[in-house]
Amino acid sequence: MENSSNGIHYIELSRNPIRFDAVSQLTNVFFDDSNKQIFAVRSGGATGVVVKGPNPTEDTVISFCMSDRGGAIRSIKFSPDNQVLAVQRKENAVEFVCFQGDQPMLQDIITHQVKTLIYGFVWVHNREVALISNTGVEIFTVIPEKRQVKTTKALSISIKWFAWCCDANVALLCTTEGNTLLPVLVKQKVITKLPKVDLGHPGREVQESKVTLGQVYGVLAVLILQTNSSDGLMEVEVHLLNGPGLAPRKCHVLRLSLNGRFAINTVDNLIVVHHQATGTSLLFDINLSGEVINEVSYHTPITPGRSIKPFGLKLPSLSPDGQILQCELYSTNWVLFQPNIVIDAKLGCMWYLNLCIEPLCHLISDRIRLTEFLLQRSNGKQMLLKVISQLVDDQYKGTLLPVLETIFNRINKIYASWVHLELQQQTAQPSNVKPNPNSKHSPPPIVLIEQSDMAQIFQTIAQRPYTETILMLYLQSLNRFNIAAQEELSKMIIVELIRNRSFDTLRRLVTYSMLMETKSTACFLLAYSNVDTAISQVAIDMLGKIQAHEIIIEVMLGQGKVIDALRLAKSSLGLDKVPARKFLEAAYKTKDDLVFHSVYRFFQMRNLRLYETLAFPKTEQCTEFIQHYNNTFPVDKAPRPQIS
Amino acid sequence: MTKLLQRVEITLRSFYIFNSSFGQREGEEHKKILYYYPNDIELNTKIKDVGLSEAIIAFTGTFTTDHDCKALHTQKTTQLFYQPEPGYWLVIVLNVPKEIRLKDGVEVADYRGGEVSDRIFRAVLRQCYNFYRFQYGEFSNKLTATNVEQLESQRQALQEQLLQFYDKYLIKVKELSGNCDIMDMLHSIQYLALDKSLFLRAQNFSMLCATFPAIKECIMLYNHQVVCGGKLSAGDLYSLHAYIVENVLSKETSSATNEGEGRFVSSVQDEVTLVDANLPPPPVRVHLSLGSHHLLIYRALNVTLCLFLDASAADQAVPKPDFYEELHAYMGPQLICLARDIANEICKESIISSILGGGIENASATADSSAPKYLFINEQSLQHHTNIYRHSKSLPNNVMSIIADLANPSESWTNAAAVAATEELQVKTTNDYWIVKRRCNWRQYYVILCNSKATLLDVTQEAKRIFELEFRDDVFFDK
Repeated sequence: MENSSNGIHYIELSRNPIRFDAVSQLTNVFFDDSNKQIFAVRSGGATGVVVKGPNPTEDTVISFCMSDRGGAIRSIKFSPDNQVLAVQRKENAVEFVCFQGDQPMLQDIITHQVKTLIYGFVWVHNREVALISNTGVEIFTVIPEKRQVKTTKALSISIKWFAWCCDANVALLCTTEGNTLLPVLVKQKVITKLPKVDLGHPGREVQESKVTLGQVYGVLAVLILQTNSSDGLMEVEVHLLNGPGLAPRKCHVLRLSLNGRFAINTVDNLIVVHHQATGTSLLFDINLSGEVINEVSYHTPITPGRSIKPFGLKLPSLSPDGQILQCELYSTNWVLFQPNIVIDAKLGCMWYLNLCIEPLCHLISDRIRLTEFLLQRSNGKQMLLKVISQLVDDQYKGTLLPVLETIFNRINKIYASWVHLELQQQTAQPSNVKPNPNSKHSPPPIVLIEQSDMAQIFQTIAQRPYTETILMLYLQSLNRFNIAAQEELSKMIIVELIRNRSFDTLRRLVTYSMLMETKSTACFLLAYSNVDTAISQVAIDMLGKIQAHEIIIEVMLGQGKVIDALRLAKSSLGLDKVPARKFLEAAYKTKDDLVFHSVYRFFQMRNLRLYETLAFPKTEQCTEFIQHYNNTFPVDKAPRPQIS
Repeated sequence: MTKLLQRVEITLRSFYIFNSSFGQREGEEHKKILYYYPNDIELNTKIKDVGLSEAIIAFTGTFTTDHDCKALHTQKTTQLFYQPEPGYWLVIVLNVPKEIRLKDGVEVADYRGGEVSDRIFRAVLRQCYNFYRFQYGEFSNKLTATNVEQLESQRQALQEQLLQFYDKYLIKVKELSGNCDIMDMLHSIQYLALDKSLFLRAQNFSMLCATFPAIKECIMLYNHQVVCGGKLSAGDLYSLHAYIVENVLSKETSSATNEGEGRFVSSVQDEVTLVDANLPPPPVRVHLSLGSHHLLIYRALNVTLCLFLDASAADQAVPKPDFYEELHAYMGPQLICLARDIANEICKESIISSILGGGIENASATADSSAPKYLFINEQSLQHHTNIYRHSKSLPNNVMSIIADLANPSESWTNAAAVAATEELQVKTTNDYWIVKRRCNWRQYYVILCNSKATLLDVTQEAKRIFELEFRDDVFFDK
């Protein structure tokens, strides 16, 4: 397949395909999309069946033989625990083969025959299977011990065809009457009819081949390929089952702007529409904004279509370099399964489709759209961080600031919802109430970019002329979503503000408590006191707010403001807890006799109140200061000190 | 018995600027005088006054190391000296208040020199210079020639400029001289109290500087209050604020503001002939401590945005009309939106405070002079918060003077070595006013009470109550 699109591919086939025996005259291949197992059946099973699961290792490959009981196999599926194998050979019968270990007990085959035309069957539980036939859906319990099959639940409705989504346990039935599309929830012992899909006008007939069931952003989606009535080009209608009572709603239309044969996959919540004629795959993200008409968003592909990355299959060979076979992409031998499985039956390969995020980023030039896109991708975080760090680093331009602002808001919106959710979980659980196991652990957002992640990016641009602006923008965005700045970010902002001498801004940020108020932040500010007195003021403000009186006292003592420190110590610590020695020592160091005298007298008065004597208790170790006082203010010469 | 017949308040007697280095030769003494008010007196009197000032400065110079003669008090006048640039002296001479009394049938003039606060008027004098410098730059920059003749013509140009500026400026000073108060002294600014998210939005509006690199600084005012002052020094901000209030906001009220759209406004005073109304007003050259800039003023509702464009380099061209247009288109809608949000916020706050606002607000609304007054000033940001309105005469002069004396002079604030002390003072005046001052962490707080029967304990209690009510946002350790 040609790959003219200058080498950029945003979709690739998984590197290690699962190999199986290719389809031939002897071999038939089946795929069970519930268990993601591929069955290679040789000669109707007589010469062997090889079953490979999604991650085949030596141990998980099941291979066995079973007799060809006449009639070609139409469908073959294991129960979820691989203990019962269901095989359909006739249109009105299913056989159940019980397994012991990984070998079938061929003598105990249960044949379940019905009078209707079986369209297919799905396992809904280890021993329960749902048969979908022209007359309805029926759940059977397989009881191997009794070699019995028992009806558990049935829904009678005449059906034309059906589609099954194993992830959501939903079957979409196309009824004979009125051609309605009816989703049905099929679970163990339960069949629930859901509201039907609104097809616009009654009597519209939808072919089975035009319908795909998939899960996008955790919601079941019914994707219907159809021709646009006005321009004749193809489009995909997306009906999401997220209305009241899981009612399907037509929410999105994907404009393909092409004609021909299409196949649909979902990869990482993106809808991938493959177009065989051009050999390209179009990507759609229904969470990106589109043109909205009558509450339906119309989407165009994220980027113009490109082909899947060419795949070279290494063939087993004796020579060391091996032989590489370039696989044909979009081949007619391809069969696609949900969500992202590609099987080339002729080649005997099964791949997963994967998204190549990095090349895709180069194709989306709108940075805001790119952010929105990456925020929804399971491995988008690293890429998004890279995009942002480029934006603030070598791609920085003053005119990009509004873009950055929007990006910060997008990121922080998700961050905020997570922070608040976590907070709720911590606070909203009274200790005597058993936590509700369902609501307990909500999944984290797909991409969560926290402050620490951003701080790492901002570290790299420290001390640039525009860093302050960017940090302030980020702070504004955090504030908008009620997230408090953490210490690392606070310190970074402080450094930049001080570097730019934006003391006014710094002062007001502290007044508004927009920086993290901790002792460590305040001390960090204190360390810059020599730059400008404004900083020292702000630092003490912060200490005052967090009531870190002991640090303020130390600062004041360091500045020689012993009396001020003493006053604060008295009011904050309480009279009996003020350490005498510390203050006397500081007062002594000021070499100001008046200060020393005042401090000394203060403690004498304290002694009088606490111990009913002027003398200092021995434990306070104040002897040297008592001596100094007596020397400086001899009793006979000094006028009697007046304590007001 | 004495009877008060008449009281004459402080009046401006004269104001002059001189530099002794001009007119050294005999007969050229008049060249020293760069400006003299009043202009219409005999030249000889001017020369004599300047000569006397020179003599006093020289005389005091023998006692101090640097020439920093500050004030001269005579029975009838108070003279204040200020030397902003080496050699250049500004002198203001004030007539002290005079009370004419009838004593034993004879009229006696009683001069009340003590009622003139040096500190307040020194600050007024300083602002006379600062305001000039803000608009025209330093004196010495005007006299750069080495050639005698050129120097002389430059001197004359400066003289002309000073005449133009101060003739207008002094009208205001003259009006005020009777009731200059503590607010004139502190040179402080009232900041707009905003919700923090709005503050951040306003703050980040300076992002404009990044989008338009020509813009160096971006200051936002809301009515008369500063929203964010950028990196301007407090002194510059005060001058800018005064300039905007004087030249933009005072005019704004008279002319109808076009609602809903922002526009550039002119700050040139004599806007008699506006040739083309569509043409944006030319930028004004202003001189900050960081160098000279072009100032563009943009108004949107109640918000005034001051944009500073670098003009220090001589070749810096005046911005072109399309620059204005681009700027207008870019920021107009955003600024309007911001201005609306601020207006809403203020409206909301005033409703809340009118509901919650208890004693203090209502008491001050009734505005009797005995209601408690408060004043808070942050020495670092020159931010003030008060219910003393400027020139409202709500406090007697002697109380104002006492506050002025108590206030720590602003010159010492910028001194980094000076460590702000914590102090508390209570002063009782002869006319039953109590002034409680607290100072802590580079902030000064004053509460002024008027209660003749109050005891020290009452005053302490009441002051504490007001401190807690009004200054709760700020840290005060010694509660």
